Amino acid sequence: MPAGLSVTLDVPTATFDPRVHMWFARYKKGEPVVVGVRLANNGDRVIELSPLLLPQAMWLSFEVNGPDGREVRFLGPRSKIKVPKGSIRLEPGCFWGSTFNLAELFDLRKPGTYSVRAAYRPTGPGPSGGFAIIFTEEARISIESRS
Amino acid sequence: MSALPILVWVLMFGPVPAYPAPHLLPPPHRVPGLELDVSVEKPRRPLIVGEPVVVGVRLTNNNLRTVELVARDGSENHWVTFEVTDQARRRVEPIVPEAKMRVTYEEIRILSGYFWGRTYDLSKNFKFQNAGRYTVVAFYTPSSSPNASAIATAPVEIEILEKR
Repeated sequence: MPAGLSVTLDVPTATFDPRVHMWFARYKKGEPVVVGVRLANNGDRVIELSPLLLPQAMWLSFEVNGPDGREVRFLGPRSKIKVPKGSIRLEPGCFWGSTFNLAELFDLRKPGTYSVRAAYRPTGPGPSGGFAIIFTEEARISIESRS
Repeated sequence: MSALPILVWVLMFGPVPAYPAPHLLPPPHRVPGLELDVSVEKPRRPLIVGEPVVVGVRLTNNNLRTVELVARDGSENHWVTFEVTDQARRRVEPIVPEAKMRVTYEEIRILSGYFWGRTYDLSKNFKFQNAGRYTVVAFYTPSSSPNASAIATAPVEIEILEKR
């Protein structure tokens, strides 16, 4: 990966359990499940990144597994995108990213605990160029039925 | 104000959550004219006395159009200052008065739905000598702000624990 680049899955409502080294968050069924994907330059050189961060499209993908452990289907939207020209210049100490409502992107209607992590591919559709895919920490998202 | 909308909400979605709920990000404050929300990201975990106190100042574009931050008056004129208070609500005096966004390129384009920001190690600016809870507010002054007035973020609380 580009030296100094870190990718974080930011679940604003989550609490960290140091015993299992994992984030936990609870939502009621139907509530937005908003997470952020945050790319930070912790190195000492500028990192150039694609200016687009769309889910399940070239650079970014979420891995969501349901209460039964199976992969949860991506609902979309799937959009045909052009590889954008230009890049984001992320200076040392800076971060950049976007937020996503996972409840719109994935079928999270079944109550239970879902595991979520994001994977970032620095080179997108191009050859890896020796850069590995960067995975975020896993978060556990509990969907509770409304009573 | 009529209680009817609240009643309808409670019937449809359950009890209205008390705000601010624990662990929620504080409500971001808006930069007039720039259509950006400014907030402070606190460390993801409690810190230990002596550790770096790294916070992020985040500019979020919650609008439908792209926002450009142009360094009109020089590339380093995006200013950030911080105010830190301890748990007795006493102001912690800064060692270094101000920080900068240190934008060295001409412009930053923040697309709709995206955010951009910079991290700061506040332990370089303030002495966090004792364990306890500290409250941090950032004041952001964009160079393109016509009146150059600073925007204060919502306060965030940082917990610093004793060394074991």
